Amino acid sequence: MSSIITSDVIVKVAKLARINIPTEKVDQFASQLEPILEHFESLSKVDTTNVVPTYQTTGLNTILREDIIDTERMFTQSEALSNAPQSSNGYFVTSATIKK
Amino acid sequence: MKITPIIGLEVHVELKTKSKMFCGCDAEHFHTEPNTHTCPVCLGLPGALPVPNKKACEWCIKLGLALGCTINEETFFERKNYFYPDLAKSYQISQLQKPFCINGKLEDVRINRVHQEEDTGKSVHVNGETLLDFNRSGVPLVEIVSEPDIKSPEDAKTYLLKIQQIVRYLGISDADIEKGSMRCEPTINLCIDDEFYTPLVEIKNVASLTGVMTAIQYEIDRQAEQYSQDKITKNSTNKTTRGWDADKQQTFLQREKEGSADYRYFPEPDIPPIIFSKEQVEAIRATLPEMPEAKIAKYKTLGLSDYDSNLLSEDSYFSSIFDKIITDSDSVYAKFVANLLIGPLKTIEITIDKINPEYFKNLFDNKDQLSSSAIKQLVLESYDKQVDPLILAKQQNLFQVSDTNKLEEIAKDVIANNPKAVADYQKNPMSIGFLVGQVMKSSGGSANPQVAKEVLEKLLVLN
Repeated sequence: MSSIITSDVIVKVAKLARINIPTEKVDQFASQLEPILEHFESLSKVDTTNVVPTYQTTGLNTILREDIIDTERMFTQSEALSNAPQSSNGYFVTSATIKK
Repeated sequence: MKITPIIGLEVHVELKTKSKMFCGCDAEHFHTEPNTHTCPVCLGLPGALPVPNKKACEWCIKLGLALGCTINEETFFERKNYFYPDLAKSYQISQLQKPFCINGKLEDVRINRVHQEEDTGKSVHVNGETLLDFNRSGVPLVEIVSEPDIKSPEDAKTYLLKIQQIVRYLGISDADIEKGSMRCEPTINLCIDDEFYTPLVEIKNVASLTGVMTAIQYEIDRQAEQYSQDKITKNSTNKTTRGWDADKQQTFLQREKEGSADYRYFPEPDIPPIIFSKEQVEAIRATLPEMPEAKIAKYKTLGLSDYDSNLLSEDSYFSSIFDKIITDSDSVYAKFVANLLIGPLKTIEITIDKINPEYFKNLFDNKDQLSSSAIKQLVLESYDKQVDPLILAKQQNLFQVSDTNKLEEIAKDVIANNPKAVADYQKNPMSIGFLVGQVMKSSGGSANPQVAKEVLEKLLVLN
Protein backbone atom coordinates (compact mmCIF):
# COMPACT_ATOMS: atom_id res chain seq x y z
CA MET A 1 0.00 0.00 0.00
CA SER A 2 1.30 3.40 -0.90
CA SER A 3 1.82 5.91 1.83
CA ILE A 4 -1.37 7.97 2.37
CA ILE A 5 -0.30 9.61 5.59
CA THR A 6 1.94 12.40 4.43
CA SER A 7 3.25 15.03 6.78
CA ASP A 8 0.71 17.44 5.26
CA VAL A 9 -2.11 15.18 6.40
CA ILE A 10 -0.70 15.11 9.94
CA VAL A 11 -0.47 18.89 10.03
CA LYS A 12 -4.03 19.25 8.78
CA VAL A 13 -5.54 16.71 11.18
CA ALA A 14 -3.65 18.27 14.08
CA LYS A 15 -5.05 21.64 13.12
CA LEU A 16 -8.64 20.34 12.94
CA ALA A 17 -8.18 18.61 16.30
CA ARG A 18 -6.61 21.74 17.78
CA ILE A 19 -3.52 19.78 18.85
CA ASN A 20 -0.06 21.28 18.74
CA ILE A 21 2.40 18.87 17.16
CA PRO A 22 6.05 19.97 17.15
CA THR A 23 7.51 19.99 13.63
CA GLU A 24 10.15 17.39 14.49
CA LYS A 25 7.42 14.95 15.60
CA VAL A 26 5.35 15.15 12.41
CA ASP A 27 7.24 12.39 10.57
CA GLN A 28 7.13 10.17 13.64
CA PHE A 29 3.32 10.48 13.86
CA ALA A 30 2.99 9.90 10.15
CA SER A 31 4.86 6.62 10.34
CA GLN A 32 2.81 5.53 13.39
CA LEU A 33 -0.55 6.41 11.90
CA GLU A 34 0.15 4.60 8.67
CA PRO A 35 -0.12 1.02 10.07
CA ILE A 36 -3.24 1.95 12.07
CA LEU A 37 -4.96 3.06 8.90
CA GLU A 38 -3.71 0.01 7.07
CA HIS A 39 -5.30 -2.13 9.75
CA PHE A 40 -8.69 -0.51 9.25
CA GLU A 41 -8.18 -0.69 5.53
CA SER A 42 -8.81 -4.44 5.88
CA LEU A 43 -12.48 -3.57 6.54
CA SER A 44 -12.86 -2.46 2.96
CA LYS A 45 -12.19 -6.03 1.84
CA VAL A 46 -15.60 -7.04 3.18
CA ASP A 47 -18.24 -7.29 0.46
CA THR A 48 -21.08 -4.95 1.50
CA THR A 49 -22.93 -4.91 -1.83
CA ASN A 50 -26.24 -6.06 -0.36
CA VAL A 51 -25.91 -4.52 3.07
CA VAL A 52 -28.14 -1.58 3.90
CA PRO A 53 -26.20 1.11 5.81
CA THR A 54 -27.06 0.96 9.51
CA TYR A 55 -27.27 4.23 11.37
CA GLN A 56 -29.87 3.06 13.79
CA THR A 57 -30.50 -0.25 15.45
CA THR A 58 -33.66 0.41 17.43
CA GLY A 59 -36.13 0.52 14.54
CA LEU A 60 -37.75 3.51 16.20
CA ASN A 61 -38.67 6.74 14.48
CA THR A 62 -39.95 10.21 15.37
CA ILE A 63 -39.15 10.21 19.05
CA LEU A 64 -39.90 13.78 19.98
CA ARG A 65 -40.67 15.67 23.15
CA GLU A 66 -43.25 18.39 23.79
CA ASP A 67 -41.91 21.92 24.27
CA ILE A 68 -42.01 21.91 28.06
CA ILE A 69 -39.36 23.20 30.46
CA ASP A 70 -38.11 20.42 32.72
CA THR A 71 -36.57 22.14 35.74
CA GLU A 72 -36.03 18.75 37.45
CA ARG A 73 -33.12 17.99 35.16
CA MET A 74 -31.58 21.45 35.18
CA PHE A 75 -28.37 22.10 37.09
CA THR A 76 -27.77 24.91 39.50
CA GLN A 77 -24.89 27.15 38.52
CA SER A 78 -22.54 25.55 41.05
CA GLU A 79 -23.52 22.04 39.90
CA ALA A 80 -22.87 23.04 36.29
CA LEU A 81 -19.42 24.37 37.17
CA SER A 82 -18.49 21.64 39.65
CA ASN A 83 -16.21 19.77 37.22
CA ALA A 84 -14.70 22.83 35.60
CA PRO A 85 -10.92 23.12 36.07
CA GLN A 86 -11.39 26.88 36.16
CA SER A 87 -14.41 29.09 36.63
CA SER A 88 -15.07 32.72 37.45
CA ASN A 89 -18.25 34.63 38.33
CA GLY A 90 -20.46 31.79 37.13
CA TYR A 91 -18.56 31.29 33.85
CA PHE A 92 -16.37 28.46 32.64
CA VAL A 93 -12.91 29.86 31.89
CA THR A 94 -10.59 28.80 29.07
CA SER A 95 -7.54 30.38 27.55
CA ALA A 96 -8.37 33.05 25.00
CA THR A 97 -9.79 31.81 21.70
CA ILE A 98 -9.38 35.08 19.87
CA LYS A 99 -6.12 36.94 19.47
CA LYS A 100 -6.58 40.65 19.20
CA MET B 1 -12.35 45.14 -15.34
CA LYS B 2 -16.01 44.09 -15.17
CA ILE B 3 -16.99 42.96 -11.67
CA THR B 4 -20.12 41.00 -10.82
CA PRO B 5 -20.55 40.24 -7.11
CA ILE B 6 -21.94 36.79 -6.29
CA ILE B 7 -23.47 36.71 -2.84
CA GLY B 8 -25.13 33.91 -0.91
CA LEU B 9 -26.54 34.31 2.58
CA GLU B 10 -26.71 31.88 5.44
CA VAL B 11 -29.25 33.15 7.91
CA HIS B 12 -29.61 31.70 11.39
CA VAL B 13 -32.82 32.29 13.25
CA GLU B 14 -33.19 31.38 16.89
CA LEU B 15 -36.61 29.89 17.58
CA LYS B 16 -38.49 31.20 20.57
CA THR B 17 -39.57 27.87 21.96
CA LYS B 18 -39.89 27.62 25.72
CA SER B 19 -37.36 24.79 26.05
CA LYS B 20 -34.14 23.94 24.22
CA MET B 21 -33.79 21.83 21.08
CA PHE B 22 -32.71 18.51 22.57
CA CYS B 23 -33.39 18.89 26.30
CA GLY B 24 -36.00 20.41 28.59
CA CYS B 25 -33.82 23.30 29.78
CA ASP B 26 -35.30 26.78 29.73
CA ALA B 27 -34.29 28.27 26.36
CA GLU B 28 -34.15 31.84 27.68
CA HIS B 29 -30.54 33.04 27.61
CA PHE B 30 -30.79 36.80 27.23
CA HIS B 31 -29.88 38.65 30.44
CA THR B 32 -29.81 35.45 32.49
CA GLU B 33 -27.27 34.46 35.14
CA PRO B 34 -24.56 32.48 33.31
CA ASN B 35 -24.80 28.69 33.35
CA THR B 36 -28.13 28.50 35.15
CA HIS B 37 -30.07 26.90 32.27
CA THR B 38 -28.04 23.76 31.64
CA CYS B 39 -28.29 20.00 32.07
CA PRO B 40 -26.21 16.94 31.08
CA VAL B 41 -27.48 17.14 27.46
CA CYS B 42 -26.60 20.76 26.67
CA LEU B 43 -23.36 20.62 28.64
CA GLY B 44 -22.30 17.64 26.56
CA LEU B 45 -21.77 15.31 29.52
CA PRO B 46 -21.07 11.66 28.66
CA GLY B 47 -24.09 9.41 28.29
CA ALA B 48 -26.67 12.17 28.02
CA LEU B 49 -29.35 11.51 25.41
CA PRO B 50 -30.84 14.23 23.19
CA VAL B 51 -34.57 14.20 22.37
CA PRO B 52 -35.74 16.69 19.71
CA ASN B 53 -38.28 19.38 20.54
CA LYS B 54 -41.44 18.69 18.51
CA LYS B 55 -42.52 22.32 18.32
CA ALA B 56 -39.10 23.40 16.99
CA CYS B 57 -39.32 20.75 14.22
CA GLU B 58 -42.83 21.91 13.31
CA TRP B 59 -41.72 25.56 13.22
CA CYS B 60 -38.77 24.72 10.99
CA ILE B 61 -41.19 23.01 8.57
CA LYS B 62 -43.58 25.95 8.86
CA LEU B 63 -40.83 28.36 7.84
CA GLY B 64 -39.86 26.06 4.97
CA LEU B 65 -43.46 26.04 3.76
CA ALA B 66 -43.65 29.84 3.98
CA LEU B 67 -40.52 29.97 1.79
CA GLY B 68 -42.04 27.63 -0.78
CA CYS B 69 -39.83 24.66 0.08
CA THR B 70 -40.40 20.98 -0.52
CA ILE B 71 -40.60 19.12 2.80
CA ASN B 72 -38.63 15.92 3.19
CA GLU B 73 -41.00 13.38 4.66
CA GLU B 74 -38.19 11.41 6.31
CA THR B 75 -35.27 13.28 7.80
CA PHE B 76 -32.50 12.67 10.28
CA PHE B 77 -30.03 14.64 12.35
CA GLU B 78 -26.27 14.47 11.90
CA ARG B 79 -23.21 15.30 13.93
CA LYS B 80 -21.03 18.12 12.69
CA ASN B 81 -17.68 17.70 14.40
CA TYR B 82 -15.40 20.56 15.25
CA PHE B 83 -13.49 21.67 18.30
CA TYR B 84 -14.29 24.99 19.82
CA PRO B 85 -14.79 25.87 23.49
CA ASP B 86 -18.38 27.09 23.03
CA LEU B 87 -19.37 23.67 21.71
CA ALA B 88 -19.24 21.41 24.75
CA LYS B 89 -19.96 18.11 22.95
CA SER B 90 -17.31 18.89 20.30
CA TYR B 91 -20.04 18.37 17.73
CA GLN B 92 -23.13 20.27 16.80
CA ILE B 93 -26.33 18.35 16.04
CA SER B 94 -27.41 19.61 12.64
CA GLN B 95 -28.82 18.35 9.34
CA LEU B 96 -26.83 17.77 6.16
CA GLN B 97 -28.09 15.06 3.82
CA LYS B 98 -31.77 15.24 4.73
CA PRO B 99 -32.81 18.67 6.01
CA PHE B 100 -36.48 19.26 6.84
CA CYS B 101 -36.93 21.64 3.88
CA ILE B 102 -35.29 22.04 0.47
CA ASN B 103 -35.63 24.02 -2.79
CA GLY B 104 -37.57 27.09 -1.84
CA LYS B 105 -37.71 30.57 -3.28
CA LEU B 106 -38.03 34.06 -1.92
CA GLU B 107 -38.78 36.37 -4.82
CA ASP B 108 -35.68 36.17 -7.06
CA VAL B 109 -33.52 34.31 -4.58
CA ARG B 110 -33.55 30.52 -4.58
CA ILE B 111 -33.45 28.89 -1.17
CA ASN B 112 -31.22 25.83 -1.06
CA ARG B 113 -32.43 24.53 2.29
CA VAL B 114 -33.97 25.28 5.64
CA HIS B 115 -32.60 23.00 8.30
CA GLN B 116 -32.76 22.49 12.02
CA GLU B 117 -29.80 22.67 14.37
CA GLU B 118 -28.76 23.93 17.80
CA ASP B 119 -27.03 27.06 19.01
CA THR B 120 -23.65 27.05 20.77
CA GLY B 121 -22.74 28.58 24.10
CA LYS B 122 -21.78 32.21 24.33
CA SER B 123 -18.14 33.32 24.67
CA VAL B 124 -17.03 36.51 26.31
CA HIS B 125 -13.44 37.52 25.69
CA VAL B 126 -11.78 39.40 28.55
CA ASN B 127 -8.19 39.95 29.67
CA GLY B 128 -6.63 37.15 27.67
CA GLU B 129 -9.26 34.66 28.81
CA THR B 130 -12.46 33.35 27.29
CA LEU B 131 -15.50 33.07 29.57
CA LEU B 132 -18.21 30.60 28.62
CA ASP B 133 -21.92 30.63 29.31
CA PHE B 134 -23.88 27.57 28.16
CA ASN B 135 -27.38 28.96 28.69
CA ARG B 136 -27.57 29.40 24.91
CA SER B 137 -26.09 25.98 24.19
CA GLY B 138 -28.76 23.81 22.58
CA VAL B 139 -31.26 26.57 21.86
CA PRO B 140 -33.10 25.67 18.63
CA LEU B 141 -31.64 27.34 15.58
CA VAL B 142 -32.96 27.24 12.05
CA GLU B 143 -30.55 27.86 9.20
CA ILE B 144 -31.80 29.25 5.91
CA VAL B 145 -29.26 28.83 3.12
CA SER B 146 -29.75 30.80 -0.08
CA GLU B 147 -28.23 30.06 -3.44
CA PRO B 148 -25.68 32.72 -4.52
CA ASP B 149 -28.38 34.71 -6.31
CA ILE B 150 -27.83 38.03 -4.57
CA LYS B 151 -25.98 40.68 -6.53
CA SER B 152 -25.48 43.69 -4.25
CA PRO B 153 -25.40 44.84 -0.62
CA GLU B 154 -28.83 46.46 -1.14
CA ASP B 155 -30.33 43.18 -2.42
CA ALA B 156 -28.86 41.42 0.60
CA LYS B 157 -30.60 43.89 2.88
CA THR B 158 -33.93 43.47 1.08
CA TYR B 159 -33.64 39.69 1.33
CA LEU B 160 -32.82 39.82 5.05
CA LEU B 161 -35.70 42.15 5.81
CA LYS B 162 -38.07 39.81 3.94
CA ILE B 163 -36.83 36.79 5.89
CA GLN B 164 -37.19 38.76 9.10
CA GLN B 165 -40.72 39.80 8.21
CA ILE B 166 -41.77 36.25 7.34
CA VAL B 167 -40.25 34.80 10.51
CA ARG B 168 -42.04 37.43 12.58
CA TYR B 169 -45.34 36.85 10.74
CA LEU B 170 -45.03 33.18 11.65
CA GLY B 171 -44.36 34.15 15.27
CA ILE B 172 -41.48 31.68 15.59
CA SER B 173 -38.68 34.09 16.51
CA ASP B 174 -38.01 37.73 17.41
CA ALA B 175 -35.49 37.69 14.57
CA ASP B 176 -33.68 40.60 16.19
CA ILE B 177 -30.30 41.10 14.51
CA GLU B 178 -28.91 43.37 17.22
CA LYS B 179 -29.91 40.89 19.95
CA GLY B 180 -28.46 38.01 17.95
CA SER B 181 -31.69 36.02 17.51
CA MET B 182 -31.15 36.51 13.77
CA ARG B 183 -27.62 36.23 12.39
CA CYS B 184 -26.32 36.45 8.90
CA GLU B 185 -23.18 35.10 7.30
CA PRO B 186 -22.65 36.27 3.75
CA THR B 187 -20.46 34.27 1.38
CA ILE B 188 -19.02 36.40 -1.37
CA ASN B 189 -16.88 36.16 -4.41
CA LEU B 190 -16.64 38.05 -7.66
CA CYS B 191 -16.99 37.13 -11.27
CA ILE B 192 -14.36 39.09 -13.20
CA ASP B 193 -14.95 39.90 -16.85
CA ASP B 194 -17.60 37.12 -17.03
CA GLU B 195 -14.78 34.59 -16.89
CA PHE B 196 -12.75 34.39 -13.68
CA TYR B 197 -13.97 33.78 -10.15
CA THR B 198 -12.23 35.08 -7.03
CA PRO B 199 -11.85 32.75 -4.00
CA LEU B 200 -14.92 32.36 -1.77
CA VAL B 201 -14.98 34.29 1.48
CA GLU B 202 -17.43 33.74 4.29
CA ILE B 203 -17.90 36.71 6.62
CA LYS B 204 -18.64 36.21 10.31
CA ASN B 205 -19.49 38.45 13.29
CA VAL B 206 -21.78 40.82 11.45
CA ALA B 207 -24.13 42.13 14.12
CA SER B 208 -26.36 44.65 12.38
CA LEU B 209 -28.20 45.21 9.14
CA THR B 210 -25.96 48.14 8.22
CA GLY B 211 -23.00 45.93 9.15
CA VAL B 212 -24.12 43.30 6.62
CA MET B 213 -24.22 45.87 3.85
CA THR B 214 -20.96 47.58 4.77
CA ALA B 215 -19.14 44.26 5.22
CA ILE B 216 -20.32 42.99 1.82
CA GLN B 217 -19.30 46.22 0.10
CA TYR B 218 -15.92 46.17 1.85
CA GLU B 219 -15.35 42.57 0.78
CA ILE B 220 -16.34 43.30 -2.84
CA ASP B 221 -13.80 46.12 -2.99
CA ARG B 222 -11.13 44.10 -1.18
CA GLN B 223 -11.49 41.11 -3.50
CA ALA B 224 -11.40 43.27 -6.60
CA GLU B 225 -8.21 44.91 -5.35
CA GLN B 226 -6.70 41.55 -4.35
CA TYR B 227 -7.52 40.01 -7.70
CA SER B 228 -6.00 42.86 -9.66
CA GLN B 229 -2.76 42.20 -7.73
CA ASP B 230 -2.47 38.41 -7.56
CA LYS B 231 -4.96 37.07 -10.16
CA ILE B 232 -5.70 34.14 -7.82
CA THR B 233 -8.97 32.38 -8.68
CA LYS B 234 -11.32 30.18 -6.73
CA ASN B 235 -10.51 26.52 -6.19
CA SER B 236 -11.85 23.78 -3.93
CA THR B 237 -9.40 24.53 -1.11
CA ASN B 238 -8.98 28.28 -0.91
CA LYS B 239 -12.25 29.27 0.72
CA THR B 240 -11.56 31.40 3.82
CA THR B 241 -13.47 32.84 6.73
CA ARG B 242 -13.03 36.50 7.53
CA GLY B 243 -14.32 38.29 10.60
CA TRP B 244 -16.02 41.68 10.41
CA ASP B 245 -14.45 44.30 12.63
CA ALA B 246 -17.19 46.88 13.12
CA ASP B 247 -14.81 49.36 14.77
CA LYS B 248 -12.28 49.33 11.97
CA GLN B 249 -14.98 48.78 9.33
CA GLN B 250 -12.97 46.03 7.67
CA THR B 251 -12.80 42.25 7.41
CA PHE B 252 -9.81 40.28 8.70
CA LEU B 253 -8.68 36.74 7.99
CA GLN B 254 -9.93 34.35 10.68
CA ARG B 255 -9.10 30.90 9.41
CA GLU B 256 -8.81 28.75 6.39
CA LYS B 257 -12.30 27.33 6.05
CA GLU B 258 -12.91 23.69 6.91
CA GLY B 259 -14.37 21.84 3.99
CA SER B 260 -17.52 19.82 4.56
CA ALA B 261 -15.38 16.65 4.77
CA ASP B 262 -13.37 18.11 7.64
CA TYR B 263 -16.51 18.26 9.77
CA ARG B 264 -16.83 14.48 9.45
CA TYR B 265 -20.61 14.60 9.37
CA PHE B 266 -22.32 11.36 10.24
CA PRO B 267 -25.89 10.44 11.20
CA GLU B 268 -26.61 11.13 14.87
CA PRO B 269 -26.87 7.64 16.39
CA ASP B 270 -28.75 8.90 19.46
CA ILE B 271 -31.73 10.28 17.56
CA PRO B 272 -33.93 7.97 15.46
CA PRO B 273 -35.05 9.28 12.05
CA ILE B 274 -37.97 11.66 12.02
CA ILE B 275 -41.02 11.21 9.83
CA PHE B 276 -43.56 13.92 9.16
CA SER B 277 -46.30 12.44 6.99
CA LYS B 278 -47.87 14.39 4.13
CA GLU B 279 -50.98 14.81 6.28
CA GLN B 280 -48.94 16.24 9.14
CA VAL B 281 -47.16 18.63 6.79
CA GLU B 282 -50.51 19.74 5.36
CA ALA B 283 -51.77 20.30 8.90
CA ILE B 284 -48.78 22.58 9.51
CA ARG B 285 -49.44 24.36 6.21
CA ALA B 286 -52.99 25.02 7.37
CA THR B 287 -51.62 27.01 10.30
CA LEU B 288 -49.72 29.45 8.02
CA PRO B 289 -51.06 32.97 8.48
CA GLU B 290 -51.83 35.24 5.56
CA MET B 291 -48.34 36.27 4.42
CA PRO B 292 -47.16 39.83 3.63
CA GLU B 293 -47.37 39.40 -0.16
CA ALA B 294 -50.99 38.23 0.08
CA LYS B 295 -51.84 41.07 2.44
CA ILE B 296 -50.36 43.68 0.10
CA ALA B 297 -52.34 42.27 -2.82
CA LYS B 298 -55.53 42.33 -0.73
CA TYR B 299 -54.98 45.93 0.37
CA LYS B 300 -54.43 47.06 -3.18
CA THR B 301 -57.79 45.61 -4.22
CA LEU B 302 -59.30 47.76 -1.44
CA GLY B 303 -58.01 50.77 -3.34
CA LEU B 304 -55.03 51.49 -1.11
CA SER B 305 -51.81 52.83 -2.61
CA ASP B 306 -48.64 50.72 -2.82
CA TYR B 307 -47.19 52.88 -0.07
CA ASP B 308 -50.13 52.37 2.31
CA SER B 309 -50.35 48.65 1.51
CA ASN B 310 -46.68 48.15 2.29
CA LEU B 311 -46.83 50.15 5.50
CA LEU B 312 -49.88 48.28 6.76
CA SER B 313 -48.48 44.84 6.02
CA GLU B 314 -45.02 45.56 7.41
CA ASP B 315 -45.93 44.07 10.73
CA SER B 316 -48.43 41.23 11.14
CA TYR B 317 -49.89 42.59 14.37
CA PHE B 318 -50.39 46.02 12.86
CA SER B 319 -52.07 44.60 9.77
CA SER B 320 -54.29 42.35 11.89
CA ILE B 321 -55.65 45.53 13.50
CA PHE B 322 -56.55 46.87 10.07
CA ASP B 323 -58.07 43.51 9.15
CA LYS B 324 -60.21 43.59 12.27
CA ILE B 325 -61.69 46.97 11.27
CA ILE B 326 -62.00 46.36 7.55
CA THR B 327 -63.62 43.00 6.99
CA ASP B 328 -65.49 43.67 3.73
CA SER B 329 -63.58 43.28 0.53
CA ASP B 330 -65.45 46.28 -0.92
CA SER B 331 -65.19 48.55 2.05
CA VAL B 332 -65.58 52.20 1.15
CA TYR B 333 -63.70 53.40 4.20
CA ALA B 334 -60.50 51.37 3.86
CA LYS B 335 -58.48 54.44 2.86
CA PHE B 336 -59.99 56.46 5.70
CA VAL B 337 -59.02 53.78 8.26
CA ALA B 338 -55.58 53.26 6.72
CA ASN B 339 -54.86 56.98 7.12
CA LEU B 340 -55.84 56.86 10.78
CA LEU B 341 -53.75 53.75 11.47
CA ILE B 342 -50.68 55.00 9.64
CA GLY B 343 -51.22 58.49 11.10
CA PRO B 344 -52.37 59.20 14.66
CA LEU B 345 -52.66 55.57 15.80
CA LYS B 346 -49.11 54.77 14.74
CA THR B 347 -47.89 57.04 17.53
CA ILE B 348 -49.32 54.90 20.32
CA GLU B 349 -49.09 51.28 21.44
CA ILE B 350 -52.28 49.53 20.35
CA THR B 351 -53.89 46.46 21.86
CA ILE B 352 -56.05 44.76 19.26
CA ASP B 353 -58.72 43.76 21.78
CA LYS B 354 -59.39 47.44 22.48
CA ILE B 355 -60.07 48.20 18.82
CA ASN B 356 -63.78 48.69 18.15
CA PRO B 357 -64.58 48.61 14.41
CA GLU B 358 -67.91 50.34 15.06
CA TYR B 359 -66.10 53.48 16.26
CA PHE B 360 -64.25 53.74 12.97
CA LYS B 361 -67.44 53.29 10.98
CA ASN B 362 -69.18 56.02 13.01
CA LEU B 363 -66.28 58.40 12.46
CA PHE B 364 -66.31 57.70 8.74
CA ASP B 365 -70.07 58.23 8.46
CA ASN B 366 -69.74 61.64 10.14
CA LYS B 367 -66.43 62.74 8.70
CA ASP B 368 -68.01 65.64 6.79
CA GLN B 369 -69.17 67.22 10.02
CA LEU B 370 -65.78 66.89 11.70
CA SER B 371 -62.55 68.72 11.08
CA SER B 372 -59.52 66.57 10.28
CA SER B 373 -57.86 67.55 13.54
CA ALA B 374 -61.06 66.63 15.40
CA ILE B 375 -61.04 63.20 13.72
CA LYS B 376 -57.44 62.63 14.79
CA GLN B 377 -58.25 63.67 18.32
CA LEU B 378 -61.41 61.54 18.46
CA VAL B 379 -59.81 58.36 17.17
CA LEU B 380 -57.18 58.52 19.89
CA GLU B 381 -59.58 59.56 22.63
CA SER B 382 -62.22 56.98 21.76
CA TYR B 383 -59.52 54.30 21.81
CA ASP B 384 -58.16 55.55 25.08
CA LYS B 385 -61.50 55.94 26.87
CA GLN B 386 -63.29 53.14 25.01
CA VAL B 387 -66.18 55.50 24.24
CA ASP B 388 -67.98 56.01 20.93
CA PRO B 389 -66.28 58.97 19.17
CA LEU B 390 -69.68 60.44 18.27
CA ILE B 391 -70.56 60.74 21.95
CA LEU B 392 -67.22 62.45 22.57
CA ALA B 393 -67.75 64.76 19.59
CA LYS B 394 -71.15 65.82 20.93
CA GLN B 395 -69.81 66.37 24.44
CA GLN B 396 -66.98 68.51 23.17
CA ASN B 397 -69.06 70.32 20.59
CA LEU B 398 -66.83 69.20 17.76
CA PHE B 399 -69.51 68.81 15.11
CA GLN B 400 -69.14 71.47 12.48
CA VAL B 401 -72.07 73.59 11.42
CA SER B 402 -72.58 73.08 7.72
CA ASP B 403 -76.12 74.39 7.75
CA THR B 404 -75.91 77.32 5.32
CA ASN B 405 -78.85 79.24 6.81
CA LYS B 406 -77.24 79.25 10.20
CA LEU B 407 -73.86 80.19 8.81
CA GLU B 408 -75.36 82.94 6.65
CA GLU B 409 -76.67 84.68 9.74
CA ILE B 410 -73.25 84.61 11.36
CA ALA B 411 -71.57 85.65 8.10
CA LYS B 412 -73.87 88.69 7.69
CA ASP B 413 -72.91 89.90 11.15
CA VAL B 414 -69.24 89.39 10.42
CA ILE B 415 -69.53 91.36 7.15
CA ALA B 416 -71.39 94.21 8.88
CA ASN B 417 -68.82 94.43 11.67
CA ASN B 418 -65.69 94.26 9.51
CA PRO B 419 -65.97 96.88 6.73
CA LYS B 420 -62.22 97.17 6.38
CA ALA B 421 -61.75 93.45 5.83
CA VAL B 422 -64.60 93.50 3.33
CA ALA B 423 -62.93 96.35 1.46
CA ASP B 424 -59.68 94.39 1.46
CA TYR B 425 -61.47 91.42 0.04
CA GLN B 426 -62.95 93.46 -2.79
CA LYS B 427 -59.40 94.44 -3.78
CA ASN B 428 -57.83 91.10 -3.11
CA PRO B 429 -60.08 87.99 -2.96
CA MET B 430 -57.20 86.01 -1.46
CA SER B 431 -57.68 87.89 1.82
CA ILE B 432 -60.97 86.11 2.59
CA GLY B 433 -59.18 84.03 5.24
CA PHE B 434 -59.60 86.74 7.83
CA LEU B 435 -63.40 86.80 7.38
CA VAL B 436 -63.59 83.00 7.46
CA GLY B 437 -61.65 83.14 10.70
CA GLN B 438 -64.18 85.60 12.13
CA VAL B 439 -67.06 83.28 11.20
CA MET B 440 -65.23 80.40 12.84
CA LYS B 441 -64.71 82.50 15.95
CA SER B 442 -68.35 83.63 16.17
CA SER B 443 -69.53 80.04 15.77
CA GLY B 444 -67.31 78.92 18.63
CA GLY B 445 -65.13 76.95 16.24
CA SER B 446 -67.98 74.76 15.08
CA ALA B 447 -68.40 76.16 11.57
CA ASN B 448 -67.23 74.03 8.68
CA PRO B 449 -64.54 76.35 7.24
CA GLN B 450 -65.17 75.28 3.64
CA VAL B 451 -68.90 75.96 3.88
CA ALA B 452 -68.26 79.23 5.73
CA LYS B 453 -65.99 80.37 2.91
CA GLU B 454 -68.59 79.52 0.29
CA VAL B 455 -71.30 81.38 2.19
CA LEU B 456 -69.10 84.46 2.54
CA GLU B 457 -68.18 84.46 -1.13
CA LYS B 458 -71.81 84.23 -2.08
CA LEU B 459 -72.84 87.09 0.24
CA LEU B 460 -69.97 89.35 -0.81
CA VAL B 461 -70.79 88.98 -4.50
CA LEU B 462 -74.40 89.87 -3.75
CA ASN B 463 -73.19 92.99 -1.88
